[in-house]
Amino acid sequence: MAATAAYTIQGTLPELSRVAALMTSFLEEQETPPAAVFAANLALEEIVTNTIKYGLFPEVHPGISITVHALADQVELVIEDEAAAFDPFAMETPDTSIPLAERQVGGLGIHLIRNMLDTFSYERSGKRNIIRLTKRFS
Amino acid sequence: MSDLVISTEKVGSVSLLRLVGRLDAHGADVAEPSFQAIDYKSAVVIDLGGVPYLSSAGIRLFVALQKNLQSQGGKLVLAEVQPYCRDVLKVSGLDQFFTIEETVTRAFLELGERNAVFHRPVGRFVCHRGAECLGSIEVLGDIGNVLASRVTPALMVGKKFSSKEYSIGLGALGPSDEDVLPLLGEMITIGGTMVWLPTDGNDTPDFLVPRQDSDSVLIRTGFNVSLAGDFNDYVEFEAAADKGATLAEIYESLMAIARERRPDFRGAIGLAMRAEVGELYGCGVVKSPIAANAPENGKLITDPENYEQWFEYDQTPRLRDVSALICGIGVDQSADLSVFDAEYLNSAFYINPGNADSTGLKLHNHGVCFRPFPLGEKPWSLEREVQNIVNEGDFVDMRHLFDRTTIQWALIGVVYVEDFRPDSSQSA
Repeated sequence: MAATAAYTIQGTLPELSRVAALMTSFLEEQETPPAAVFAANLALEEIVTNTIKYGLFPEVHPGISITVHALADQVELVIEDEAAAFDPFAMETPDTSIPLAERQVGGLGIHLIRNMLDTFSYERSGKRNIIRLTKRFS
Repeated sequence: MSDLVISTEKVGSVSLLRLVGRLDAHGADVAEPSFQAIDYKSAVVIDLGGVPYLSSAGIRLFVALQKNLQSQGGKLVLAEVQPYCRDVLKVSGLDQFFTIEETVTRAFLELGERNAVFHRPVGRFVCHRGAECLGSIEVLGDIGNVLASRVTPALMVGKKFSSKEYSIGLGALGPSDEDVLPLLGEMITIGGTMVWLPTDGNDTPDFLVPRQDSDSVLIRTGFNVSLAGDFNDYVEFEAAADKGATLAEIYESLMAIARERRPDFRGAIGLAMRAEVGELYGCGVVKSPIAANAPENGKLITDPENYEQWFEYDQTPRLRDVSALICGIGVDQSADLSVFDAEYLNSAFYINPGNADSTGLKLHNHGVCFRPFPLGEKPWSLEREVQNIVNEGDFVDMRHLFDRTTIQWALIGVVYVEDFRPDSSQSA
């Protein structure tokens, strides 16, 4: 079992919801377990919202390309864009032990990826940011 | 994929936010105005039962709300958090900063609010807690004597009734048992009124509102089932579909709600309601079930061989869009009914061939109908609305109701039944 789907997001949040729905349908057709579908959704959203918020200017940008590989024992997600170089995994992890009122809520999305996905990596290749994520299942 | 849908309502002291859809970054944008409109001094329940997906954007909304509520004295409880969303909260390390309850009901109880709202497929139920103590269903006579058409003067009882009497059965109004015996028909008492369908061949109901100072009026009855005890819950129901939800669906929902609200629920309820009916299906016995009328074939009056001659019954709606007062009882056949006295339980219900099956439920309801009648001012009281329509409404009809009768809207007084027992009001 191996299947690939590719999408492009033009840099708005409703676009992200649309692609997330398409990816969910695709993974469900591939009989990916619900927990892995959920993790793939979370990874897609947290990375893409970061890119939209911090790096991307949709009017001059070709968009964010998403490639999803549904394999027998894992889902792989490759997210690429041509925004300024930015490694989300270089950010500091929030300290989740301090009281809520004193806590800054930034960085939470990356914290979720670190803890809910199995692998994650960032690469700058020419003018492209490339982020790879995997969620394994048995 | 459609956007997140968010609704806000006030139930008692609690602001209830109900979210349906993905709470992703876009969903959080959609929800934000509703979150900002919350009174930060109030108690807030967020029903997440319809949210399959939650990301950091949603969590940020909850965190911001929690901070605002904590600083101004409000409270927040998250309810019905779905499994993956709960994982996200846990991994975020923020689950300890939120009170999370399994159900909306428990969330309300956690906040000290005894009222609650339930969204079920058939519609919305808002429950206001009434009496704590469970009630009873009191049974007078035996339905078996009615079904076998062997009611005799010796089996007749004169029953006083008060403005608080909610009952259904077979009865009549008249000077003596002998006079009324040939006329016995379907009856209901509600709101201090007795309405019955005399079996005089005219299929026209008779209506009596006794003067308040008169306690000498007796209902002459061979079989009567009444609610005893105060209502445990007052429920406002609004159907999801235009034509309404069936009586069976409403009973089924009320029982599901009872199981959540009352650990002591035993599988039986009694109710009285002021309803807006979409389609009314019912029947009425057309001959008095006395020994002189007993079927020659020796079978019950509800036997398929006798049913056509004994009952006027509806295969298409008899009435549409009417106001009604309904009294009835129901048991969940999947519950352990051995807790009830079998003699009285079995006397309260019977199988009516004209009534389509209600899966798993046994119901017995009578209703009196009026031309569409306006409701009074909010907040509604069941007793007041019942009195208003009895005093001012244009009476149309009275029937035994089939379970497929549909209800669009209703105020319902519900008694959670502790036992089925003999009637305690007899004055024979």
